[in-house]
Amino acid sequence: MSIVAEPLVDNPRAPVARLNPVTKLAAAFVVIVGLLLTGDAVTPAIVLGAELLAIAAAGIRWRVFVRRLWLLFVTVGGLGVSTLLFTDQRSGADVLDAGPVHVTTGSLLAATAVILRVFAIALPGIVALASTDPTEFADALVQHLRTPPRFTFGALAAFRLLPVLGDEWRTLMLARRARGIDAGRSPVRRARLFASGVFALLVGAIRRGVRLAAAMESRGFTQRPDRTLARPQRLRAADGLFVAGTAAVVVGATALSVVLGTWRFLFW
Amino acid sequence: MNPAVTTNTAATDIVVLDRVSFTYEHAAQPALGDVTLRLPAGARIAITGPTGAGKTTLCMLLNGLIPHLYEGRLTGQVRVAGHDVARETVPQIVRDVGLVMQDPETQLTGRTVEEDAAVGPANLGCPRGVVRRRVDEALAMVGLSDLATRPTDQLSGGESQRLAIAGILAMEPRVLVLDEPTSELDPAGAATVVDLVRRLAREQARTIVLVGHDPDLIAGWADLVVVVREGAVAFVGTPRELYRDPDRVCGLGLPAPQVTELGWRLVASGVLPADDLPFTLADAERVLLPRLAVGSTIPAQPAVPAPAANTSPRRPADVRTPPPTTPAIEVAGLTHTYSPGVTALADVDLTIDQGEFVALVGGNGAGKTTFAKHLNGLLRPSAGSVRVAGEDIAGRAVGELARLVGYVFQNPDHQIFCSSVAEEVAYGLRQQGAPEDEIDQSVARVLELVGLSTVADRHPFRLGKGQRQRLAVASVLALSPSILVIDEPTTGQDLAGTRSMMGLIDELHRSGHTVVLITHDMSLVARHAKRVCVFVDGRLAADRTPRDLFAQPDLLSRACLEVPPITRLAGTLADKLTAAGRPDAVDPATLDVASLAASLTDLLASTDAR
Repeated sequence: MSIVAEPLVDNPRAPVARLNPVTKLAAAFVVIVGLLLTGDAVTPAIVLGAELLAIAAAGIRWRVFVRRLWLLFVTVGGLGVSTLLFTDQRSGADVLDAGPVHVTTGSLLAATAVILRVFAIALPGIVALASTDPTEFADALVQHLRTPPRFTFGALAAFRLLPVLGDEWRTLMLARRARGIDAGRSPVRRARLFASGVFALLVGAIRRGVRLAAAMESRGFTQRPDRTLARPQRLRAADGLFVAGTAAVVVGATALSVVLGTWRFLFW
Repeated sequence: MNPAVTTNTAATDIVVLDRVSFTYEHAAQPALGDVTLRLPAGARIAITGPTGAGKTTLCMLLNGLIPHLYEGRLTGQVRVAGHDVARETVPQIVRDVGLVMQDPETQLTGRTVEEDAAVGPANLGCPRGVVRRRVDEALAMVGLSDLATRPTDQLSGGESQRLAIAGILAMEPRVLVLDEPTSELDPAGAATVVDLVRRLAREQARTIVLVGHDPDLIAGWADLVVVVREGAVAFVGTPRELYRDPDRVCGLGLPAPQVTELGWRLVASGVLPADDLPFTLADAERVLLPRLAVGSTIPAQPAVPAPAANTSPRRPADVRTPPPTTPAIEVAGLTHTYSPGVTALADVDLTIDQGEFVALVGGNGAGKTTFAKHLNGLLRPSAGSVRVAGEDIAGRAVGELARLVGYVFQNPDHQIFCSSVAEEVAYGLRQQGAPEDEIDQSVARVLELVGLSTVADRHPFRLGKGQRQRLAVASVLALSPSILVIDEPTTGQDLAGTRSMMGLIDELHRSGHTVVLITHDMSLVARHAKRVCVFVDGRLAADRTPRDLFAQPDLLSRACLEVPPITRLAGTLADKLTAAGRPDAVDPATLDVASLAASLTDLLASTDAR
């Protein structure tokens, strides 16, 4: 759990990191809309290339970033393999024909398109969150998207408590071991130990959540976003340019793919 | 007492509760029943009473969290600082009523100290300049100005709690309610918060309501004490009115200041007039020193005798007599490193004999818990060795060691998880494959021992904290370990809970268990332990009897520990008497009220006779 709270940005003054958090979200949204119904490999490949450049400009620590993406890699890998095996696009030359496993250049292309597309869609959202301080993110949401401060800052406070839950989990497991409970290698015992730990953790988290809510009420948080802005999150010209640039990349990539004759609607 | 309060108390009442009852949703019994209470503006009000009496409910009622966040049935009228609590919203009420709660962790929402302190006034919509000024003033008040830009996750417990108080002070409430603000802090952190509470009382004209158990703080600080018991107000009056009468204090189940307990005994022996009953350390010195004919100058620092004073003829024999058998625990060169560069324990050597009662003390992060977790293999040494009952435990599994060393965690909820009390006690034995008849016998024996036989079928989470703590001990005892390691068993418990838990531990010790107790509470150490091991910065800084330890103020302050008031008084009196040519009249390291009362009764009687 601690990996979630680990700071990703090495240099908060890097060009992309400095953008308003809402701008980053808007840019991610543009990419999602642009690629949602695109089925080819060329469009997402171009967009992904531009994204990798943006990540380099976001001051993100690559090692931590890649570690945090492990779940995405596993998911995308699984999607790629299942597309390769089960796609109905069996055109092109045979690459591998071993009984039930039949791979053609067409199915390879379809799998590549899926992998590129999922990466290109997921990365901007992850980068937006990863390159932004959580407090600034919450501030920007309240100021520009008018989200209720009590909910937004409550979620922020809960996010900050994640490492505490990690510590709590370790203590729970130690306390059980101290009672002579050792699951050993038995999967059933392990599952039971895990379930009882999760239950205790959940009970603790709910109690803590209630205390957090009481503390926030006592500090005067309300549903109305008319609080004094301690840290105004301004929208500058660079923010507009960034969103426009993102739209240009997505439109340009789609246009190039159309010109090259590779563009394909997802469901055709 | 704050002289300003005398005039303030004549002003209008700022808190008015008229026949108030509140029952939480799904609860059978009301948490507060028919409470009528008036608190004067500008006063320092202490609310005390046993755990579960309704103190926190009362606090949350004052700023509207009850009934607006915690729902239930509220009857009667609550008016605080002009707000009708039932009709107005929490954001309206918190403009005038600030509440600081027990747990600092869940009260901080800002990234840095100054950002967190700004949250409240920003929510109230104060202009940015006003927010800035209030933050600066509040941080100066709580002594955190130098840490303004520090991230909140890098603060200690005491600093976090002071920041939580600053966050509320910055909202400039007319009534400040502090609900047990020190209950989750170590002594060093708690001392800084108590110091702040005392300063707030001196420097600010607002009404302060403090919930707590510490009789010494209440006696020296409050203008008015409210005792809550079983959801009702059982007493309202000045601290002197409360503590004057030993029967009343005992009947209410409250602890009294140690110096007052001493005074009761002296009054009962007829050597002190009832009018001179002391309530604070300063009172006791002022009353006793002239009567002992040694002058009444009170030193700025409480004089605790130098170690040399321990050559007093009254000193009992050293408890560390040669062991009759193999030591229970032998630790040699124990070092533990959590991650490269973070050494939690460095080169600790310690031998604990069978049947000893040893207290491990020290500030947060001093290494006492890290040390204790090596005794049953929860942690493994980075270097050095641990032997239990003569055997190196390096290769033995924790589950196996649980039969030798029982470890009771601080929070009982970490250790209990079954659906009934009896199952909880049986669980460890069942895991180890014990036959059913042996399990039944052990469960019955252990439940009888800890006094939980009558609730054997109850769900553990339906028990009170004191009973859950006893259940955690029982669950460990089921495996019949001869050594018990018990981590802070009395944290957050009232007098009755503390006495019952320590009574159980004493009983286990008497029945032959070796007891290793981790604690911050020096009164517990003085009363129960025969030997104290002091940890400072991961090293074993001292290993001696409690009386020898209390004679070393330097060591105590390095270890963030405080001497019990009775020992401080004995030290001052012994110093004065020594200077007056009567060096052995009072034992300078007296640990309990009864011994000092006995010495003083003799002394005062002979002084009066002369």
